[in-house]
This record gives sequence, C-alpha cells and structure tokens, in this order.
Amino acid sequence: MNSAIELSGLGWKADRSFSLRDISLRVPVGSIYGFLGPNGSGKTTTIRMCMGMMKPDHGEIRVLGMDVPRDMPRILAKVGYVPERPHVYPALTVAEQVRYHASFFKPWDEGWARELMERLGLDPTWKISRMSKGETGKLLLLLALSQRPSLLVLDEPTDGLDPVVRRDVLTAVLDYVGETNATVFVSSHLVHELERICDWVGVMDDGALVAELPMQVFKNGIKRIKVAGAPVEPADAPFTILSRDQANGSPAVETWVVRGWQDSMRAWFESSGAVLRDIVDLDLEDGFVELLRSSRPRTPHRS
Amino acid sequence: MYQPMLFLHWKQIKVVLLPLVVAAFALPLLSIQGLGSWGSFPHETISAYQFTMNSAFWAPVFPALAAVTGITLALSSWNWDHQLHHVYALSLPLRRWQYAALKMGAGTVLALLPAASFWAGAHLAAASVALPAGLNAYPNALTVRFLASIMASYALLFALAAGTVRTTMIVVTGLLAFMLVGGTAGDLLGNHFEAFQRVDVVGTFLRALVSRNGPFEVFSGSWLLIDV
Amino acid sequence: MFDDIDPRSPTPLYEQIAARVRMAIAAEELSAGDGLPSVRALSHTLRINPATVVQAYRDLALDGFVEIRHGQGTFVREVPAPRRADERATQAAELVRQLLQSAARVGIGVEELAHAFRAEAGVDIRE
Repeated sequence: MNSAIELSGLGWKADRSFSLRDISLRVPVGSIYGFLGPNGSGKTTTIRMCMGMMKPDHGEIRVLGMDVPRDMPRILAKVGYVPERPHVYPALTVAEQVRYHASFFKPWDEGWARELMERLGLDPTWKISRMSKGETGKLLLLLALSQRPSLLVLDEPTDGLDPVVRRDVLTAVLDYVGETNATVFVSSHLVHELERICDWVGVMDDGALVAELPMQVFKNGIKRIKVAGAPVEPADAPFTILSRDQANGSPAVETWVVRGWQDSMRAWFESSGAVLRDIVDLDLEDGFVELLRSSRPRTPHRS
Repeated sequence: MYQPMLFLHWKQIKVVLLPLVVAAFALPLLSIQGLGSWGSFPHETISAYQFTMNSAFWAPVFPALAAVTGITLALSSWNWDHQLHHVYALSLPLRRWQYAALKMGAGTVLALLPAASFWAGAHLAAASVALPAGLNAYPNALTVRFLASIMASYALLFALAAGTVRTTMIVVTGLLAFMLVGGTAGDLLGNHFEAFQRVDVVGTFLRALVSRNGPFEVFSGSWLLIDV
Repeated sequence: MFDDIDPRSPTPLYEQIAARVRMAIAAEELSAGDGLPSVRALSHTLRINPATVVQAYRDLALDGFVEIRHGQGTFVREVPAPRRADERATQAAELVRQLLQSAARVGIGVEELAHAFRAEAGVDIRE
C-alpha cells in the first residue's frame, strides 16, 4: 500500500448549482498532503466521502488500502478525524469526553493524551460547552492524535483559531508525524500555513481537482515573468500561460504568469523573438491565486 | 466501550429519570389509596367490589407511565447525537448496528431503575392492605408487565429516534394519513355499500396492535395490582 | 541561526537548511563536535515537516559535513580548510548572483554597483 488515500473518478451531484466532478487523487503514505481550495470548492464533501459519511454517485474510494464503505470500521480505527465543526458532546467535561473516546480505540496512548493535554493547555475539568473555539479545536486534535492513527484527516483544523493556538496545533501534528510515519491529509484555505509543512498539494476549485503535484514543483513551477516584444499568439510555448497582462506604463512589455516553468525554457524566448526581461518567484499563495484565476472562466476586466 | 456509553446515556437522562423513578414508586401506592388503612388489619368492611372499582380508576395510568418512561429513554439516548448530526458516531470504528446495539443496551440497564422502584412500591402497597377473601395481589407480575411496557415503547421510539428526522416524520405522517384515510374511506364505503358497513379499518388496525399477538399486547389487558 | 529560512523561496527548505549549516561550518560558527538541533526541535522552531529536517541532515551527512549518530543526534564533523574555503566561495557567488539579479530588476548597472561598493565597503572592484 503506497497510498493512504486513493480516489478514482469520484462524482456527486448535490443539485444544479454544485457537483463534484471526476475527482481522482492519491495521497502517498507518510506524506503531508495539503488539500487547498476556496470555501465551497468541495473539500469538506470529498473528505466526508473518504470518511464514509456520504456516498458518492460514482467512483472508488480506498483509504489505507481498504475499501470505503465496506471496511469502514477497520479504517476508522486507524484514522484520526478532526472535522470542521466540533463533534464532541457539549455537556461533558474534557476528562469525560477523553475517557469516552478512549474506550473505542485499542491503541490509545494515555501518556501521549496527558502530555498533549498539558502542552495544549487543556484542563480536564472544563465543561466543553464553556470552552472557546480554540480550546475545542485543541481538544479535537488531542482526541485524534491519542488514537495513534496511521492517517490524520484534518478539515480546516486551524480555521478561526488565533495564531498562538494555530502554532500549538501544528507543532503537535508535526511531532506526531516525526515520531510515526503517519500520513496527514489536511485541508485549508490558509495557504501560507501549509507552505512550510506539505510535501504534496491538491487544489480544488468549484468541485473539480485543478492540480495535484509535489509542493516543490508547484512552488517552482509558477512564475511571473516580464516579456518584451511578445507575439500576440505565442504558439508552442513549453509552459502554460495562466494570464497575460500589460506591465505598468509600458505597452510593449507584458507580465505573464506561467505554470510548469523550468529554467531551460529561457531558450524558447530567444527563438520566438521575444525578450525575457525578468523572472519573479511566486510564493504558494500567489501561485494558488493565479492558478485559480486562470482555471475559472475569464470575466472581462478593465485594464 | 459499554460503560462509557452507559455513562453518556445516564448524563443525558439524569434529570428526567429521577421524577420517573419516584413516580414509578408512588403509582402502586397511589392506586390503593383509600382502601383500608395502612398497617391495621384485619379489616373487613371494604368489599372486593370496592377494591376493584377503585383500582380500575388507576389502571390506565400504569401503561401511560410505562410508555412515557420508554419514550424518555429512547429520546434521551439519541438526543445529543442528533444535535451533532451524528458526525461523532459515524467516525467511531463500529458498524452502525453495533453502535445502536450498545446504546440500546445502555438504555435497557437504565430502564431497570424505574422498574426496580416500581417493584418496591408494588410490594409495599400489596403488603399494606388487608385483602378481602377472593382477591390476590400480583406485585411481581405487575412489575414484569411494567418493565415489558417500558421496553416495548423504548424499542419502538429508539428505532424511530435512531433514524433521521425525515424518516420519523415520514413514519408519523404515514400513520396519521392511514388513520385519516382509513377512517374516512371506511365511512364512505359503508355509506354506499352495505357490505362495508361493519368494516372499521382503523379500529381493526389498532385492535390488532394491542391484541393477543400484536406488538403492543402488553399495554392492554389487566393493569390491576389487586385482582381476582 | 536559521532565521533566514524562507518557505516562500523556490529553493527547497531542506536545501536552505543544509546550505545554512554548511555556511556556518565554513565560517566557523560551528566547530567540529558541535551538535545540531534535534529534528524535533528544529521542526518545532521553524514549523516545518520533520521529514524536511531529516532530509537536510542526511544531505549534510552525505556531503561529509555532519555525522548522524543514531539515538544521540547529529554532530558536526571536522571539515578540512580547503573544503571550507570552497563552501565560502560558493556562498559568496550566490550572494553576488542575487545582488546582480536584484539590480538588473530595477535597472542598476554593474558600474553603479561598483561605485556603491567603493562607498560602502571601501573596496575597489576591478573589471
């Protein structure tokens, strides 16, 4: 088994306005896979399907080498799930909730749970209904990690949390991953957070998987380049041009955002007659924005 | 797994269960009010007839309390899960039927509490009256019937509560529709066709439910603590 | 020591870390026998994937700059002077390359750079 999650041709139609179309993705074992996309792009729906909570119209789902939904209980025993909305019982205390959760998972690590409780600053006597969003988020993570899962599925785990809590959450996850060879599948629309930790990136937009590639390739491959004397229709460019805009004040110079860039492609410019003036690296957030912008239908813009 | 589930149900029902337990204890005692004095027997002046007439007044209250207890157990079992949209339950490494079975078991254990207090109340009531000749008290049999009624209503409502609100609404609407349509259809048909005049669809249905072999048989029949 | 690590840079993180350590060794910030931060500590501090740190340390070990002692940590090795000088040269070249690139971006020529060098560093640059 070299994929922790494998989706093939997943499709689902909610109604006329939203559908998941042909989602095929692979999360390599032991990787940290960032599932990016704007709100409403279908990330949570996809995750729910992986967890067996929703049924797709068609397509196959395999998690940890096992079939969803047939082998669901065996899969769930090894998956630590932190959903978008807290799913713990508000009327319980932290200690009671932990004990309840622990009773379902055999490889429960009591020592790790206690250590996490201290590290994350959770008091076992607190009543869950009185806890803040950040504290509840930390509790959810504590529960998921103490199960000692092979796969962590985190759906927007740091959404709405303050920076201090976000850091605590991320370092707890990183520590766990460092010790074990667990796979992490984390969805977020907070791109810069994932930039540091993800090996792989899958980008969702409007129900489709727009890109799936190693983080390094994604970051390196998207560049903003300044081109002078560019042909109106650049034929056979070795990269994909995501957008073309005129550079400030200079009609002859254009700014292109390209995807799939490699250094050797400089040669193409010489042969095409255009002049490559500059190459600017884009960080993950910018690259992500450009990718999404280009994959959506162009609205006429005033330039 | 089982113990925390029991704890969870206990927490959900704690507040409401106490009054039900008290009521279960009190009911048998209330049903013999005014019949003979406590602790002073033999007493010959009240006849068997008066006994049974008095008890008969209380007879419908027993199944009602059992039903309420059963319904409360069922709803409190699923209440929290419904509020959380079952997400937590679905993420636990159990098949859904296993999860439901654990819950059912927890509720069954909790049902023993009102049953036990009923048993105590029934025995106390039976011991505190001087029975005229020809009448006997049946505290054990009544307790068994009480517990069985709780379980029957618990099981039905449990099954309904486990489903989605949508399913429950469908079932309830279906039942109501059946009763409405069945009743009206029966009347209409009866007015037009003599053969249908003695057909009573809804009544037959309800009677079938509580008749000898029906699922709710335990609710009908004799609910008297003291009887011939 | 690792304050300059930039996740936004196109250079892979593991390479940035390894380069920083190599430079520290070349500049004698780190001496032979010094211990590098543990994988866990560094991944904590930088908030990066521990696997990235592991890769950086492994690359350094392959290049002969450090040795990984299982269970104890990663330690700096004795690096001969010529090797260190090489490393310094490589890093200097990289710095100059970046400078030239930035300058070209805003249209500042080599002449002007040389002039500024003279003013700032008091050093003459011959063509």
